[in-house]
Amino acid sequence: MPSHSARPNMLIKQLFGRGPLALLLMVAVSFFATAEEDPYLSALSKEAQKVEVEGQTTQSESDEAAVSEDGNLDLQMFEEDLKARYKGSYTFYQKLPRRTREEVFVEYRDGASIDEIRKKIMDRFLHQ
Amino acid sequence: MKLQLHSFITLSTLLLAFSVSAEEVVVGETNVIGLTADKPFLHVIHEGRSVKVQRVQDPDYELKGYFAKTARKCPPFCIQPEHVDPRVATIGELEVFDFMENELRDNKGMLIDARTSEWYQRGTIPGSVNYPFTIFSDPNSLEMEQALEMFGALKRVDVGTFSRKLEEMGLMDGEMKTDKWDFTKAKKLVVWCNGPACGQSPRAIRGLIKAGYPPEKIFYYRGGMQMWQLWGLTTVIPGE
Repeated sequence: MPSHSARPNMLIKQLFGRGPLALLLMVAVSFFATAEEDPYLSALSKEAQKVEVEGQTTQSESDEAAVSEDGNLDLQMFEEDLKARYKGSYTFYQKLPRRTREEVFVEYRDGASIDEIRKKIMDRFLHQ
Repeated sequence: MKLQLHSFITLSTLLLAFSVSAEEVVVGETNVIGLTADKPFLHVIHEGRSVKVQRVQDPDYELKGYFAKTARKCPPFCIQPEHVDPRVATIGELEVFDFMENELRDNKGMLIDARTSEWYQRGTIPGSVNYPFTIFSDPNSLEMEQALEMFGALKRVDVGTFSRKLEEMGLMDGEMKTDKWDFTKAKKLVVWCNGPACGQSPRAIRGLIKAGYPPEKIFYYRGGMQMWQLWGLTTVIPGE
């Protein structure tokens, strides 16, 4: 007669002895047990189904649209920001030809960090 | 006399035309619904492309759909406290804009959408990355470790008990360090979810603090998706 504490071990041994089928059963049981255990997750999941993907979401604008419609305003904002925060870089930036300034702005708009932008301004200024 | 009258009419017409066009310019300018008084929009990188964040320009815009709804079953969707933790700052939209333009752009911060992926897939705030709150429930899980590494935390190896004790006593530099992690270079995180009645980001924040993430590097955007949409701000559908 096995002791009381030895019973779970024996049960596991028996289950594993029956091969992959038993293992699969254990995985399935544990999966359903977890899902049942967290009512918050299931409530969240149910609630998420109510969100309309279309209609309530304002659409983002891609690069191209932003450039064509408000390109000048974007550039102006960038320049004002640069002027306000990095006066030195702005001074060098002003001395760059128009095309180079645009190139710097495009890089900024595409997500370059301000440090990269400042380096680029200096680089372009020194290698004109 | 006739000539004088003619000149007067012409002058009046010109003045009227000028005043009308001047008025139009002013009205046109004030019609822009900006993010702030001096910032009409901003750009943020989302999934490798630049996204313009702005408000809906229709002055009659009203929020419709899921996020216009104010009543939800409580529990579980109860109104959350203003602060998740006294050490974690709660922020609003203006601070999020600032964060997008500075920390996010300079790669010194991350905008964390702490909702489950089902929610994220239905629309998110531009610039956000999805780290569901469930990841942060176990400080020792592999997912948590991977997330912390992505946030700039460095895993510490072989920290001796004696060294750790000295750190804890303040005799060695132990600020922003735990037995397992060095958070000195960890990024600032703005964590958000569905809004003031959403418990997902508060759970994520508590999990992060439990793992040792410095609370002063965590910011709770309580308004979340609901307030973001109420202001008619740009959202994006991931993968589109």
